[in-house]
Amino acid sequence: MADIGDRAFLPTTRSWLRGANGILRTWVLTGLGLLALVLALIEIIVGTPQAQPTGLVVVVNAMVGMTFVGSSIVAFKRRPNSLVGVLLATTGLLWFLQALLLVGTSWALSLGLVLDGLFWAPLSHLLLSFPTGRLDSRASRVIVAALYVTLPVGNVLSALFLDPTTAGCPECPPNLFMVVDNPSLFRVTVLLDALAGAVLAIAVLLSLVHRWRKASEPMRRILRPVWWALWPAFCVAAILVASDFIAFPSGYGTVVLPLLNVALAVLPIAFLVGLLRTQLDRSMVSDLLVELEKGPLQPGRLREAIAEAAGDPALELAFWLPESQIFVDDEQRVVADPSTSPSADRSVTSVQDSDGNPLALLIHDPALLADPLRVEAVASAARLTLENERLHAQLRAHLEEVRASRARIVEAADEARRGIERDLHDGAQQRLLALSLALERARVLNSTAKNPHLEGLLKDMSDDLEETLAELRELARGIHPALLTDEGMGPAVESLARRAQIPTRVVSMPSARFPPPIEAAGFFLISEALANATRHSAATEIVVKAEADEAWLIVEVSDNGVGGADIGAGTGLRGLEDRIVSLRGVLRLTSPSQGGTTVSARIPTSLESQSWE
Amino acid sequence: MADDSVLFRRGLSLLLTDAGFDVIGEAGNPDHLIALVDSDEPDAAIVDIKMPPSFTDEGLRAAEDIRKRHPDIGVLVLSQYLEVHYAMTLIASQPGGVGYLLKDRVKNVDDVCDAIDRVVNGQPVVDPGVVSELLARRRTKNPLDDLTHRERDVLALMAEGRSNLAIQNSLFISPRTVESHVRNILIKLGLEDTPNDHRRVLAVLTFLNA
Repeated sequence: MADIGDRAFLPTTRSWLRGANGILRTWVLTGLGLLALVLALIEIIVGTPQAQPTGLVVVVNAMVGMTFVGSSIVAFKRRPNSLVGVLLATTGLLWFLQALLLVGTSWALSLGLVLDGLFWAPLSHLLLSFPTGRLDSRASRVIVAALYVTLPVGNVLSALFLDPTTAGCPECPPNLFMVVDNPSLFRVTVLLDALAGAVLAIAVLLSLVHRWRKASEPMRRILRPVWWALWPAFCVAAILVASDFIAFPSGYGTVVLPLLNVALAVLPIAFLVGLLRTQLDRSMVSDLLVELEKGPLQPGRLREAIAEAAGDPALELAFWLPESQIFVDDEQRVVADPSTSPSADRSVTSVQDSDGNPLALLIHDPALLADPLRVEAVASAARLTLENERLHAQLRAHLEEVRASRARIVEAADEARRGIERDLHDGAQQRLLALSLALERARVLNSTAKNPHLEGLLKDMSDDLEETLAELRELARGIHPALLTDEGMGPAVESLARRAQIPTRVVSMPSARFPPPIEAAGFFLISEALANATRHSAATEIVVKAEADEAWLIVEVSDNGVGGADIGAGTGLRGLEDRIVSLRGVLRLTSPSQGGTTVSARIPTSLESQSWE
Repeated sequence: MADDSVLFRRGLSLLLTDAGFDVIGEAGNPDHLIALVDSDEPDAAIVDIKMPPSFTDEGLRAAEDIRKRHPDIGVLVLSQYLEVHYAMTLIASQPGGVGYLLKDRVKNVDDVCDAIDRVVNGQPVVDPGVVSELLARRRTKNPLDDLTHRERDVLALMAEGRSNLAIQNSLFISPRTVESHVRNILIKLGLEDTPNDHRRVLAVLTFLNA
């Protein structure tokens, strides 16, 4: 799984061990393991008879090589793109090759002399480049290069002057590289070699301390196991180097060498722990997903949760605002696009939606990239959350648009009705009234002429006109009561209650005025409820209540009728619900079958919070 | 006389002139009307309830204004709205001398003339349509059920603001009968007796509207 993730995330890096070469890789790694095993066995078989004081020393020595090669196999499998595996394997193999000194043939001895201690070069390389495998400072590149050159050159130089048979090993085979047997020259080369080694060791040490000091917390988390495992090895190695200059008591080697071996054997395991630690932390990502699943987070908390899961407390989250084309942080401060001003100590991971549009940026410690899969997982979690929230926000915005447009439609319809009502009063009614006046005048004039025929006609016309006027008045009032517009809900509802077919008591009415859409909603709710009660409830009494505080207008109409009313049954209540919902209000109908119906509504008294146009 | 509709204003003016009234000024808005009233001091002012600028209750406010400046000028508010609220507001605002009449009443000039005469005499006038709406109101326990038909007729006339004398003339009954009807009604409805026409009409209206 890790491999797939790494591949997906870093498609352009070194790849000789991955992808379609998966089978090849398996073979190579198996071969590497077998090779190490064979080398270890040879070392133990060859070395045990010569071992001082016990064969256990050889076993421990072989174990060092085994742990390096074994760790390299794990590192290869988990991090095929990192040099770490190569360096671990090289260190292990070079370690084994030192045992050539024990084989007892002259070519093996000669090669062993050249290869002795070379493992320090890849090991230091690893120390200075862990966990990425890249040497990121000039100094470290110089030091590592110097090691790769100095160690073999020093070995070869001293080999030129060493005859092992005269140097305290009479049973040793001859040294093929020897040019001249000169113990004093040999002594000089050994000292020079040791001096160079000591200088480079100190350089490596200083470089490591420097790296540790400037490392961020996520980086330290990776480095820490190596950092602590390193010191015993260094101390023992320092004693060994010192032994080239100062005479230690004889037999110190039997104590120090096994100690060095144990200390070195621990190192690759420390590398592995550091390398895989980030992977263990991926469980934090699942914690993040669990938290995100619980529902929308505050922007600040979202950043915290992501930072926690990423293992970088300083992680920043920059949200993309498509309207203004800028990134902002969780407190709406503008964040400069970091990709335009790259910085060595912060890395940027971009979070995009499924269409490839930017959603956010994760600005984090570069050390997190040691585990690209984890960064990818965190980015995915962030994407899910942000995309989800954006969709929610869009949905809310759309619903709000629909609501606002419904409110506008209702208001426009109300305005139109008010217009018709006014037109009826000011137009038709005024003309009919003028006609009524003219007829009356005609009747008065005729009263002197005494034409009984005309008198009857005028009377009929006048009566018809009176009825027409009354009907017109009722019509206008039904369309939109002028009393509601002019005097508000209270008087309009009183008027409604007075003319109701079922005895209707108005218990309370707010004296305050509200915006026209709110008064209209309250009035038409009462009007519709009274009409429904009259048609269906067989009630003997209706009670109307309306109360208002600063936030809500609460209207309630209850009857003592048969009940069983349904909001969906008549279009009247459905339309009212639209009207009330468009004002962010709530309509409720309680109508149990055992009797009694209550229609009530809560309507916000202010339109201000709304996107009213 | 003030009405923003010239057609109606002219027609009513002619009708009232024919009926023997002296229409001494016509206005299209409340400010002009008040200026005319201030300068000419007529016996009565006739005001349309809805006039410029806002066409809501300018007539009612003009009536109050005129009564405040000239307490002995009667004001008749003409309205196309059959609304108890407006009538009650007007009557409650003034101790007599104001009236609320539907414009429909112009179909019989005598009704209009009668109303003008009454406000000039300082009596209240409430349109019969408004009164019948009050009387027709459905009630769970209707105290009006206890009244006889004759008493209900008397009550309606009381609510219109008629004096005992007017009721007596209207129903062709003796003054004593009127008095006994009125007393019975007031007892049955639990209202206090008062010789003041205005206070009586207000009490009756308030009772009916409750």
